Amino acid sequence: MYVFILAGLRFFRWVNWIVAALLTLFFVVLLTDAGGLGTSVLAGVEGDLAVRAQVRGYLLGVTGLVLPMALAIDRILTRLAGLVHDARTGTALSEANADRLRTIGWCLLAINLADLVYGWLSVRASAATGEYFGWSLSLTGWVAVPLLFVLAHVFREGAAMRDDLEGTV
Amino acid sequence: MTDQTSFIAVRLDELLRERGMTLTELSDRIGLTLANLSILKTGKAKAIRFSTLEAICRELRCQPGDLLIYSETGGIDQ
Repeated sequence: MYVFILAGLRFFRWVNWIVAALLTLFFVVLLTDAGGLGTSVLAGVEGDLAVRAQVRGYLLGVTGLVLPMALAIDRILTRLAGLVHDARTGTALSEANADRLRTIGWCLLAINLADLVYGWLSVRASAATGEYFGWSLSLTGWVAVPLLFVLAHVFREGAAMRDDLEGTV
Repeated sequence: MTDQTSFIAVRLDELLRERGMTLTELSDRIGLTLANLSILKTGKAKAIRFSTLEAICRELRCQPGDLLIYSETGGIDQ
């Protein structure tokens, strides 16, 4: 089972970077075409200069979010792979895994913050153009962040207990 | 884990020498692995179970205080 999970995580790492590259390419094409077809699609053919400027701001913002998001997702996937690997070898309760969980927590926090930034950009762009740019607040991620930090603490405590037990004769 | 210096010294080596017993022989008698007894002998153990202490004291005919001593000068790096 662990082999399939590890293979899946490797696959998702590739998918993450491919999607990030495609999204960046897509937004860069739209940006270089600013004022042309791309922004017309988003701002509406009748969109005036102010609206187009708003759409350009939205595109710039979203483009800037893609790479940090992809990096955060990649870090989550690599740490998750490390956790799964250790779970397979029966050494899950370790300081290294506590660090991994904490890193995942920070990355998820970064993703949640980036999502808020995206939401703000979307709301602004939606208000300016009258088009719905699609965003809704998700609480799941926000609940997961403190959960991961607590879990990291539990793993650290568990690692210390395991260490003590191993030194007991 | 960070390195800790323990001031508890284990006198298993001396007791074995006094009784003319080998570590392997003690290991067989008390049913503890040689590896674990070596950990105890070299002072690398972090804790000792009462059952282990009891068995060692029984076989070596000694008191816990004969086996474990507190020594600030003879600290053992763990």
